[in-house]
Amino acid sequence: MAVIPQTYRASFDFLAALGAYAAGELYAAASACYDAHADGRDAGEDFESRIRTARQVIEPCAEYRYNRLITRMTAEQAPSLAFMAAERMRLEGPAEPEPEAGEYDLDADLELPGYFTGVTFHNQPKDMIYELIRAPAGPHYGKLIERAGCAAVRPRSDLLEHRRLTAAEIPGRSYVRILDVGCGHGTWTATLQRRFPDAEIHAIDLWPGALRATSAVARVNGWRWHVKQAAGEATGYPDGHFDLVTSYALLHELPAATAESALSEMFRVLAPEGDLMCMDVPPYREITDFQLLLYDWETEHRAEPYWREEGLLDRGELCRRIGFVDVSEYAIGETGYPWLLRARKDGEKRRVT
Amino acid sequence: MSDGYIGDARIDELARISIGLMKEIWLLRDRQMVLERLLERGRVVDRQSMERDQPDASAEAEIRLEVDRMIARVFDGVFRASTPNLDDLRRRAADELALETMIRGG
Repeated sequence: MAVIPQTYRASFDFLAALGAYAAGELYAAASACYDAHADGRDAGEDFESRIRTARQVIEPCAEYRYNRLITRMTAEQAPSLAFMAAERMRLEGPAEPEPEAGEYDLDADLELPGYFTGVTFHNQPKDMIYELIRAPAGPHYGKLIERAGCAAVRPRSDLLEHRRLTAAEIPGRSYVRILDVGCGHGTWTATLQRRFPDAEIHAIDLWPGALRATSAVARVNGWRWHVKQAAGEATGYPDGHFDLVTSYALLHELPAATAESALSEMFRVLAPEGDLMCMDVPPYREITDFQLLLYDWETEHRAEPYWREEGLLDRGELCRRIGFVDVSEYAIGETGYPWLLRARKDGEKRRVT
Repeated sequence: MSDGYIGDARIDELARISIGLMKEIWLLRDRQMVLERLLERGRVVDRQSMERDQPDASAEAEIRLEVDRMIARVFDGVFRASTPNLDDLRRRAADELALETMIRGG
């Protein structure tokens, strides 16, 4: 069994405690400081005015500045720690079994889009995602997120519960074929399979590490999933192939124009009467000015290159324009997260076969 | 307008170094706690056993208490630098004792 060395475990304990201090005591003090200095100011309605005013209001608050430095430092250090712990385990052996042939399909002809290759996400080299969830550092990384939160995720959040609550909001009682767009590490995919045990599951992502992580989830649970490399805006599936299409925390990783293309593609591959469920960060119009300050900060300081575009996007209106009906957007958490986008494709129902 | 998080970029560098040093001190403190746990169990202690020690739930709670307190003490120097409030100090002492008693089963 893989054992994380003491120095690595203790480093995670330290980063988790440091992050918890920033997200707890410093966050509360920064929020109070913001309220005290914002008193009587009208930030206006438009984004530029809101963010400019919010930055001016927070300027005298030292707790905010330390909160941000620590948030940045933990985001820089934790993934590297996880990766190095995994690498040590690999070097010390025994070697981890290779994925079985055909567990996931890489597309050798796929030209990775510029919005993906030209940026860094989350201050992590691409493909680091696998090391964040696997042994030996995975549980320690999870504890760090549990204690310190991450971006829209507040401390002491139960990320699995977020997924279960989101799945519970999917209206159908059963589905024949489900597509998970941008499957990441496969945790949401697993939630879908548990909620709809008879459904045929398809999962796509651009990151080979995500495909490997997702197919490993299927393997250890004895599920047979169809995992392949594809972009959300060009899935390669036939029209009307699925009766449920979902994404979990994907849209804010796409430029606004690509998010629109991806939602159009989801509409295309959805059968009439099929359901759409997308969970993501809340739009800027739905959050307080203090939250706006923190969320928008992610764009430039924690390598969330498209968060601002996404935050300003009216996803509901976009879905209506694409042709979805019964579009609704709402939060199922007290902090506005998880934020759900739910819709349906109208038309004469036909059986997905 | 400053170009760093805390102040200008040079101040940020010092803050990063300070936090980095705090982490190094914690690594030593944690290693000492591992050593104490192994000795309490009457184990023969070598580097390998210290390196591979995995804290149980009780040890994890103790680690969390210690590291949280260390971080709070360090930042108290920044954010609690004014004249102390005696009621606040009494409350913190009582909270500390209650937590220690709960974790160590005293």
